[in-house]
Amino acid sequence: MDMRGFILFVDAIFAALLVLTLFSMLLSFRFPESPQENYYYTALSKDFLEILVQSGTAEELINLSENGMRDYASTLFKEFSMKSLLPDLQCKLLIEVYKWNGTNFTLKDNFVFYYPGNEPTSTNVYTAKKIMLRKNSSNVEEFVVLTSNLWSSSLNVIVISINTFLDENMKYPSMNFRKNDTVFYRVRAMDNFGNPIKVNVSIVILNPNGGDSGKGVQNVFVNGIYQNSFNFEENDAIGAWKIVVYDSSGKLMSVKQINLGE
Amino acid sequence: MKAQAFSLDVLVSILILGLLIISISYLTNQIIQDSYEQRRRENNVNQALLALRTLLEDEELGIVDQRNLINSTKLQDFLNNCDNESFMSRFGITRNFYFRISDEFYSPLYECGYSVPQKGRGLVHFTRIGLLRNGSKEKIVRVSLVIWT
Repeated sequence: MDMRGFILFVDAIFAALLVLTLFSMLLSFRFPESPQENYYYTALSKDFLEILVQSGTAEELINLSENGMRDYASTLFKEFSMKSLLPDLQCKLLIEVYKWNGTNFTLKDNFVFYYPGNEPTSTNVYTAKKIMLRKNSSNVEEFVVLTSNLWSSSLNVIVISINTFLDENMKYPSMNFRKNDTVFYRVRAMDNFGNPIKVNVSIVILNPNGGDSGKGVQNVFVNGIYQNSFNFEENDAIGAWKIVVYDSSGKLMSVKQINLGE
Repeated sequence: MKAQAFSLDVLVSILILGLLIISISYLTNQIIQDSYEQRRRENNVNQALLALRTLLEDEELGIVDQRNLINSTKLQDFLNNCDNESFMSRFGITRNFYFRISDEFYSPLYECGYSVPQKGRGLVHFTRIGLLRNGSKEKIVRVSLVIWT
């Protein structure tokens, strides 16, 4: 084998190694650990049922529904869900009331409640069940099966973080700025597990009086991370300014306060 | 002429070899870094989930009388010992952490731990819900735990 053949042989070996490395990279790619996600959201689903029962809300929902006040029950469920569920979660609650007919238990009533008001839109629905005993208005014991189905409404958006910087390369973080300064900001959207996610948001810059300064941007697409900047003018009011991030439905997601000095 | 062509072949081959070696070492390094960061995050996720489970589900070790029903005396005891490492290790917390209980509007009611850095290694943040019992009053609260390395 002459010199040229030898070099080509070595090249071929390295090319093969490169292909192998790329393949091993592809094979080692892993999706986020689903057992952890399953555990976390199922635990939240159970938490929801526990506090629904312990706070007496479950009993109240059954009483209102049995007495023909479904609208009140539905409003009560929505208020309770709004207080207790994390912002990106939605819920469907099924209540089944069983009575004893002398030989076995039979289904007497079943009620369904939704928060905020739709069937699950996600394929990942986390289910929990709880059984409780109650006495009806005639003091007869019944048992109730509560089933909660929890799902995420906005691609698991939990953490929206906002950071502000003095420089375009975003190396020098700061919360304090002066007039005529440019504020460089970065918005990150992640799920609970730190995975970057895609979401549409609006960014509003509030002046110290709480009014919209018009320096923000409407309906921007955040693919895990979004960067932008705005300027403080000479006539801008001194004090605490806020960078506020809303989701596409207008729900508040995150706020960052910065200070404008002389 | 033949000798010149041969030396050009050698130069090109050495260049290709060099590029291949650099890309392979870069890719290998990247894979190792990613896998290390992923493992660190997974460990932090496990630690945060386990700690929240102990706090909100274990009636003996945690801050609850029964699952999700927070006892204000147990909670106060936990907050008082937050800076005690051996006490925190009962909940499996062995890393930097920040603990907070907030109301339905996310206003903090109780907090302890370290201030959360902007860039924490393997930083994870989890929130669960509970019912805080204070005397005869009960309030829905959010229990959050942030862990980083």
